[in-house]
Amino acid sequence: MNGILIRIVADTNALFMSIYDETSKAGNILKAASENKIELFAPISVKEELKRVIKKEFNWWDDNKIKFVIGALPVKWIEREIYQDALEKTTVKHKADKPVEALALILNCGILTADKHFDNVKQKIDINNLLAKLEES
Amino acid sequence: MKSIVISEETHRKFIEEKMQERAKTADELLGKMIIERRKQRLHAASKMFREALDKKGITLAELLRRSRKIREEIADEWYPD
Repeated sequence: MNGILIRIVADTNALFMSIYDETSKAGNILKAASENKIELFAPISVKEELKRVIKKEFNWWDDNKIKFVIGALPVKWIEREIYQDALEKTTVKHKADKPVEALALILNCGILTADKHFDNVKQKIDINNLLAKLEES
Repeated sequence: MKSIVISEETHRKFIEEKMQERAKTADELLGKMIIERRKQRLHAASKMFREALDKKGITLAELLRRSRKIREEIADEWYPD
């Protein structure tokens, strides 16, 4: 079995995009995480966001269904205490985006996001490069 | 290293599976089985998610826009100025 090669912080939009279409570029990243080829992390705020969005938009779903879908994501959720101190070192403008960048700073890794707010954040990764790297490995 | 206890019957099936999968060790077989199970769960979750989005009658782009609003609500709650 392959060892863990790459660590990435995944943003909410990337997770929604990957679960929506397993064959998409983001979907392939999730598949690679399931196969232990990469290690995906996300701040607990992203998990909360996923939970609230699903609960609000799919209001006929019960808690077990929500838990199942979020639990199926091969993501390690990181508690606030771990990245809290790095929030002030972030460069992204919007307060709501800071936990994602803060966690990437703590883990010293890239960010997988489709959010334009991260365009000038140096940790934002190019998904095409990442997929090419995964194919090489 | 950790040990687990399994019944004779499960052990027999496990060894059969190990040979079938050409896994060198029990650890390798379990690793493969865990990966397969994770992929199945992800596939099932993906199907449920797409069906729910269809039922709701919104696009993924719209869901992402709504998600952005919720992200801001969480930030205001968790990190008030």
